Amino acid sequence: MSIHQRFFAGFVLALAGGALVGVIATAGLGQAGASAAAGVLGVLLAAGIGAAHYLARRISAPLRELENSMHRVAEGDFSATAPGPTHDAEIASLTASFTQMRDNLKDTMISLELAVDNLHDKQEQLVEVEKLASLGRVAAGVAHEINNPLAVINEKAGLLQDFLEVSGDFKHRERFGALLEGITDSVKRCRAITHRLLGFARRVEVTVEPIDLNDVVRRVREYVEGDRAEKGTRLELALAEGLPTAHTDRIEFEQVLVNIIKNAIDAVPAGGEIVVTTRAKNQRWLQIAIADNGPGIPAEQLKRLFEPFFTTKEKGKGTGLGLFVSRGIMKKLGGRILVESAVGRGTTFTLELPVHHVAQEIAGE
Amino acid sequence: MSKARVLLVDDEREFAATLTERLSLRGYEASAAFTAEEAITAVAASAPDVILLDLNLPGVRGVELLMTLRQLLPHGEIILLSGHLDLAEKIEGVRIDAFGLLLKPVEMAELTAKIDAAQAKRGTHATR
Repeated sequence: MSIHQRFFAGFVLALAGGALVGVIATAGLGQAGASAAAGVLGVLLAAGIGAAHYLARRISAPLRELENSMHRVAEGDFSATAPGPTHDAEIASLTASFTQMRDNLKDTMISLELAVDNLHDKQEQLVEVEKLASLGRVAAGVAHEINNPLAVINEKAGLLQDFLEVSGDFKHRERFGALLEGITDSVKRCRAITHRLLGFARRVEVTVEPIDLNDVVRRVREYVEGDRAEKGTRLELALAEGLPTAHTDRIEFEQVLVNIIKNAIDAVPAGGEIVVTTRAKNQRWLQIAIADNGPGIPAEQLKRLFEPFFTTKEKGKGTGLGLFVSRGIMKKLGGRILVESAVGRGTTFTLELPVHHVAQEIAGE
Repeated sequence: MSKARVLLVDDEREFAATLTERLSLRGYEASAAFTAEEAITAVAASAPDVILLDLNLPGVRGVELLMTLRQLLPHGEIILLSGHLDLAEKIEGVRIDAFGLLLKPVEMAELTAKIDAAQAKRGTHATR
């Protein structure tokens, strides 16, 4: 029986009781009796209505409370509580269902919010990747356009040098030679930039050879020794034993490692510390982490770190191409670069290199 | 082995003319073609030993020109010399066995070394 039915039945029962007494009284007792009976009937009727009213209140109060709570939940207020303990088994069951529904809804809402946040993050990452790719294409396009006139300058200056070599002495000959050298040197500098932008380092082909990662790290330490000593940076190596032999382009990979360690040396204050760690992530991937205790990179700059021409170094100190090119090389080698940074604590770059080389071309090229 | 006869194919006239002159100064028999048509005519007429080819000529797909010149010149070597090579051009370059890919601007020593190596390879083919 539902609450409504029971409520109605109680009311009917009270009414019926009153009416029955009234009928008996009217039938069996005379006029006086009848009026007395009518009085009794009235009392009984009042009692019946009162009982029904009490019953209705007892049932409807928790229901109203429940209704309020439901409205609050519907509006997203998950702190809404169910009515307190009740003797009515059905209301208790309803309350329990409400509480369960509210909790389930709350859990669902939380995971939905997390999913939406996650989606937003992914979307932002996607925009960044997209931006980087199109910047890369623009940079490559610009490099290409510059290479042609640069080649003209190079050949014309070169031809002048050729002539100078076979010419006899003349006024300003020495000055002439020095000026031409200034031109060809500048061409070389431009060329270094455009060729790096086009991912065209020294060689076109990727040469895959077996490498011992720890050997590579030790060799790279030799390369950066000059910069390290000048700055007074401590450079610690934490090399894992028994790493699998990787198959990759050693020279390209060394270029990336040199670049990142030199960046770290630039980033740390005098007497700072850099730790290079090697380890096997699993059977297929090797990891090299380069951790410094420098000033760290603010989140805003971290986002733009791999963009071409983005640099935090002083004007003239960096081209802003190092990390852009490094990222391209790692991609070409089938690996990747990850970066984590905390302002005031330092920055860690992690290079992930596949044990087995899979040739990959740079996207957008 | 004699110095290679070199045909330079490039629509950048200033570049092609100057480089031709510089190669001539170094003892190569060098000439230049500024369009695809001129290149095809020159190859048919004089069969150079080595072609220095810019794939970015106007009005012609670089890859198609490359294949055409390769067919016209089965015993010569082709070196790609461009301001930029896209992926398709690189793949095609490798597929048709171009002798090398060089990016402009190129240093003279690097260029002549490549030309001489191409000429040497031709020599080994000829004696085979």
